Amino acid sequence: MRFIAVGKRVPRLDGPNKVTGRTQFGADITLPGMLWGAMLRSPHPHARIVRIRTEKAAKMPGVFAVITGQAFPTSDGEGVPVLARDKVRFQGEAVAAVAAETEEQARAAASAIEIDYAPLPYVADVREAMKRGATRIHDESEDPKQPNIAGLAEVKRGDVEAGFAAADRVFEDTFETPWVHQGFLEPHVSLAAMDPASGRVTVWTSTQAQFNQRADLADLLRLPMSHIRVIGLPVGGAFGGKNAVCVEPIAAELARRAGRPVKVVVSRREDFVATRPCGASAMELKTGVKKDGTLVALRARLLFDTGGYPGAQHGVGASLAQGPYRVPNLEVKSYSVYTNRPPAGARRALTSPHVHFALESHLDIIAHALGIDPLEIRLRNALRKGDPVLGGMEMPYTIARKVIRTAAEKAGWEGRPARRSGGRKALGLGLAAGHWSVWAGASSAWVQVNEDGTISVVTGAINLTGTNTSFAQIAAECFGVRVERVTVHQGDTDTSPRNDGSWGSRILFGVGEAVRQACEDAKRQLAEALSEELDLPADAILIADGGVTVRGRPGRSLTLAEAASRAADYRGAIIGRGALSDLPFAVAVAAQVAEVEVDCETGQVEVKRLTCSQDVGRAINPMSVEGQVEGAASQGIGYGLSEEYVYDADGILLNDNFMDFRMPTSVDHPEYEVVLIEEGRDSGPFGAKGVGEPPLVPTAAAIANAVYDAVGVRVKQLPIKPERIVRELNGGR
Amino acid sequence: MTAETTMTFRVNGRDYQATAHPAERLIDVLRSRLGLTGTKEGCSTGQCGACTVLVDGEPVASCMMLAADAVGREITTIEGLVPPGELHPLQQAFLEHGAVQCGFCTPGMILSAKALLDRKPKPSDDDIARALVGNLCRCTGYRKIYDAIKSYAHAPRARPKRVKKR
Repeated sequence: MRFIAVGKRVPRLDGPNKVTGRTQFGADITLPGMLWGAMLRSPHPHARIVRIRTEKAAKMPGVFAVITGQAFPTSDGEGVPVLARDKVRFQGEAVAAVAAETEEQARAAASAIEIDYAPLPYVADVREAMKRGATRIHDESEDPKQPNIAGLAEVKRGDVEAGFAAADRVFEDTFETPWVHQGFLEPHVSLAAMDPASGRVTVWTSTQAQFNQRADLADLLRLPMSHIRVIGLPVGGAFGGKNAVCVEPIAAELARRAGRPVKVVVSRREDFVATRPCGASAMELKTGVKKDGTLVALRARLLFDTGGYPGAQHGVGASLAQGPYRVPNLEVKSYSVYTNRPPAGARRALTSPHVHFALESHLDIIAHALGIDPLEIRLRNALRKGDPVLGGMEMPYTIARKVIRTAAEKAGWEGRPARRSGGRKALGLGLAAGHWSVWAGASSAWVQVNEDGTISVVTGAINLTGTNTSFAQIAAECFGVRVERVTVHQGDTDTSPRNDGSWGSRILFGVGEAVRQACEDAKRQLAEALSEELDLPADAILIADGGVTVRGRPGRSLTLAEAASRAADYRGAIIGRGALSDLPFAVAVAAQVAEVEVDCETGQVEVKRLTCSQDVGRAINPMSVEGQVEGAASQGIGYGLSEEYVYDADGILLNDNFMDFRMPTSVDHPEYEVVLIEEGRDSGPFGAKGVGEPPLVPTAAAIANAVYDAVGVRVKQLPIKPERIVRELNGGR
Repeated sequence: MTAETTMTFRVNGRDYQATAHPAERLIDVLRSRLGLTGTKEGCSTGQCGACTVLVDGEPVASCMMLAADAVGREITTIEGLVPPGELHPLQQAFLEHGAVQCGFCTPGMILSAKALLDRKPKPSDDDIARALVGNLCRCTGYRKIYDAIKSYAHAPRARPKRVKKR
């Protein structure tokens, strides 16, 4: 099939305003009469709140409102209080907030609020939290012996004990990953205003999920949902960190009490300490294999650090534990575990980078022990069509082998030299694969054919990754018009159809399909209107190539503009509707080969080259997809080599800034080779599936495996720090 | 608190009178007093580069410079690169190479790149790496930013005109 718009490298439609600085992010917006909000945060990781005195702060210059945990009797949709009530469970937890005329006044007043704390022993990590008799973080926990289990998900298939008995060898390894920030550059920001006449509250915010915000805000503010309007703004990076409510309810409640609009901008330090970063994990794997590398049984015990409040890691982690491999006997116990760390949020492919770091490192250990090529063990076990995945689903296609083989071939895997020793710098290649499931979720769009033949697309999906540009390509393809003839509008919760959040790599897959269906609906309406007017059967009217033709009547053609204006005169505007809540799910498989250079004296690891292959079903916009792959892999390099939260003995975060929390910079970028495979076609538009998250999944493991290939050091704990490598090279000293 | 004073700032080729505290940062004057919000604030500590502007042609983190120190100097913000409605060829190159995703780092990134290209019209990869090391980008992985800068540097329009010898 030949496409006119799909598959083209179209620059982002919002790009011109971004390169000229005209895009208005949240911090750029000022409302008349606007006040500033600021929070007071807990200095303790775990403490009872004995007393709060706000009188002094309330009398300070410029102060309009002061609120504490009493303002929000309920917690948000994820179970996190907006302001702590009775107890703080992590350092930086917001306890009170102030609205004042200037930012300085607000911060000064917030720090003048007096709070008496009774500090409690705190829990630093999941292993400690799971011990019997561990400090209890939530008083109402049900299990007295293990009070810190926030959630448990189990997956069982076959009989693992029988599998271990039938195996030739059994391997056991434990892996750990650290807390990391998602690393978005735009700090959390929200503005809120109340219309005194109607009592309606409008919130402008940097969010991935405006409709979910609306529902949460209605609960938190105890208002009907119809009284809340959320306007999702351009987002300066999110990567899962802007899924949940953050300062929105604070801005809204302050605005309601002050009777003036309120803006809250979170500082970088607050964003590190107290928003929802990505939680740590500890993962124990036990695997039985045949001598030829065939996987027979896998038992996994996964502990995900969910911080002080509940999270969703355990369920997703459990479903991914088998990796992109067939495992006949499987037993997964996956826990979300409370600690006195920030509430864990999502980060690009929630838990999948954790789980695959463990599994893909473990597979390499097994391959080397059995004397099998790491490529071979992966190809031997790769998922095929019909294999059980995700606890009860079936793999929809045989694609994993091709994705893995492609990455290896492009990276020169077969001809790679054996490990060389002796020199100061050692080169190594490491392979890893990964998978992620993509679900459509609530997805909807409106498409109007205007009387000039242009197409307007409206969705309520937040445009993070350039999906609006891809929607324009989809609509252009459906009508056979140039992309420039399509406008895409991201509406707000008052002005656009409901969509779930921009997470899970679902927007292009689900909302893109809704756009396609809305286009087809609009075409159907147009054909019906013309058939009535022209007294022709509807199926004789063809809408394609930017015009309308009548089957069997070559002379009777209309331009899209003529057709749309005639149809509009005849029966009103042509507005197509696309709405779906589910599609058959898609599985995205990615594989990467990292080429690293290890400095044997300093332990420094440099990723020289990263070969990334991925099945994307259909690349609607290959330039955009490449950007997703490279950006995700770059985050994977940070996750693999340098990023981690470092806490002191008192539970206080030490590296709450970009200088000490090291993300990749312009000097840390490898040569990328990106190979897009367009074969695992799904129910998404033109066969497209989610692409943004899967490429982060294998990266850290590929680097760890490359480090082993280079210097024979196996690092089971992220990040792969130079000192760990040097210590191992010096015989553990 | 010290009283506000009126200072004159030369920004994007135009003189602005603005009232500010002597301790106010350049970024505050640009964003809050002059309404030039193209300059972004990502960390407030000079570590992310989103607030980069050019001061006498050199990239500076405007969150780390006192406004008073910018008086009498030529300041260029992203709004001053070309007149409204136009795109600088470097901006065009960023668009065409997919070097823009969320766009929050983009103004600072483009100004750092511009300063490099003004100094060195045909930069090597090492030159680019060094020039951009203070500008974090979390979306792109940097490769497409390199591609954009190199394509601009090597485009025909960027070549100096040659005088034919007879």
